[in-house]
Amino acid sequence: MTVTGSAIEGVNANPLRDFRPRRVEAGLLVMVAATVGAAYGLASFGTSEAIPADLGPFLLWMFGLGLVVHLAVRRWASAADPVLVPVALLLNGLGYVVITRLDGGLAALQSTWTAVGVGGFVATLLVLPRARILESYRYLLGLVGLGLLMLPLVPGFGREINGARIWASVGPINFQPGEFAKLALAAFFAAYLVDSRELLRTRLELRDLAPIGAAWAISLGVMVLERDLGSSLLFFALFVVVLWVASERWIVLAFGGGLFVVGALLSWQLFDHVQTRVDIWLDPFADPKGDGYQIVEASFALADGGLSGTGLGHGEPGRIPFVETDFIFAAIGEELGMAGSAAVLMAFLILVGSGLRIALRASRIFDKLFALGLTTLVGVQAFVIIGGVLRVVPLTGITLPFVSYGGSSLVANYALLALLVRLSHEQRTAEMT
Amino acid sequence: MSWGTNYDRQTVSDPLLLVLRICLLALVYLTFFRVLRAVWVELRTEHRVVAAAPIAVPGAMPSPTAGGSSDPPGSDIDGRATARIVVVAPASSAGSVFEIEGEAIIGRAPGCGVVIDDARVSKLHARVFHSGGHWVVEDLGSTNGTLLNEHVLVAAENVGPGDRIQVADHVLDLV
Repeated sequence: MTVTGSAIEGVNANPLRDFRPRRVEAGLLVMVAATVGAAYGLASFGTSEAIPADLGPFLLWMFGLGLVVHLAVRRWASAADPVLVPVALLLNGLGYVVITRLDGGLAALQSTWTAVGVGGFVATLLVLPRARILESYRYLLGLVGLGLLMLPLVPGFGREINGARIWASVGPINFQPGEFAKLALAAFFAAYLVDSRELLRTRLELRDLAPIGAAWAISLGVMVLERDLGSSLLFFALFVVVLWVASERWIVLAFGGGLFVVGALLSWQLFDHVQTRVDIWLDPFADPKGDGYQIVEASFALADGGLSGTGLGHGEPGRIPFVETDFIFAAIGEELGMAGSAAVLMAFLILVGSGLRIALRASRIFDKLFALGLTTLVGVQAFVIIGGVLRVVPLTGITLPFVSYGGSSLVANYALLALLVRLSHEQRTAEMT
Repeated sequence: MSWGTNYDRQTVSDPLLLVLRICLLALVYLTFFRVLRAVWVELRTEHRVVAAAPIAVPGAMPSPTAGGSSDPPGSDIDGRATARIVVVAPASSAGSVFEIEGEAIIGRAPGCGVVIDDARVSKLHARVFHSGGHWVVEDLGSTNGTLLNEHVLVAAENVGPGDRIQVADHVLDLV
């Protein structure tokens, strides 16, 4: 026993006192703040040929945000992966610069949302000392998730903006409850599958899947009623991926793929707006001034950008409708070129890679499935909208996480980031003790 | 500039802006380089910690290598009993044999006598030891528990040939 004891001591450096990951993170955050500051200065130089008067305050703001996030992580999740937070802040910062260059009014709002998002990040870390707390509230979380999803359909609360009924207004605040619902449902799926996983691995029966299947069907149905294609795709992917990993059976993936094809064909048959989307995807130039306008302009913007872009402030991304939200990737492609948009892709790749690393190495099944679900949400969401802008897949309006303008999206994604940081801290702490 | 198709741009003729633009992209990629280096350094240190762990063990430690060992099974060294733990399931690691002497820890930690590399197995999962002429197995407060002959192990219990110890998916036989 004594021999074994000393063997373990060799591995055991007290993770709570080891701030090495935090030092790395601080270095990266300084780097990110400098990069975003440079982009901000250059964007202003590009639009008005002058170094912005508020460059100093902006840099202070960036460093301030970085410092708050860093201190929160250092205090409450000191062993967490050092790259998650800097990469997310880089995406947020670049998105903010592009939004500033497009629309100053929106930028002011976005900076408020960023502050709220960082507040949400800190609050999430603070109220959730352990991710497994969520596991015991599984059914409550499932109900909350579904409730949030259905909120926009409730008369009096719901609001339809730009053809999608995904908004809810409570008092003076308008928000998209779906953005928060995805977090609650990811936790519910993970927690539910912890119990039924053993069963699912030996037999796949419908009744074991009843609660989760019901949640999934309701969320899809609601999405269809709200005409929110992007989110339905996101929920579908979340469900299939988490179930696949939990059951360790490839048949789930094959069956999910089959269901997807059936669902896609059905909705194509049934809904006009789906047909329009597919037609635009196949041939945007059939109606370049009408239905295809957005995609056509985005394609021109990307082509204009070329390899290194027109330079911030020198392109014309303002021609694209909804460029600040759904089409922000096209604006980045135009003004920062292929190099800049590849950087955005790389950032998402790093986020997804770090998330999957947490999932792979987590020792508790709930942590594993939850980290996987959260990572799937970020990855699939980025793929759906970037693929839509690049015409790889039919366009479904959804925000680009951390980059697009949008309060709900930004706050929800900061909460998601905090959950990943929390899971990463727990996984590393468990590994070191 | 060769790759631009727009002719009405001051940027094209303004070398300063071009330089600044390239600098910005360089800065972005430098940041990514730092991020990737951080990931790389971390993966390498983790690897080193794992590799270094068995070296940190002073003196003898039952070798966790599968297959033949120098000691014949069943013999007593310094009056201590020896036994073998054979992995019977899952198929991917079935047939691995761990020689144990007096006592061994089953777990994921590299220093264990019976190392099972599975995320569902705790670092120190269970202990098998020789006491009063019997082999005894006890759970060490593992996250996912230990099964003996398909019931959950609560207290320490005697094991003999034919009994099945299960940690996660791994079924172990004591012979």
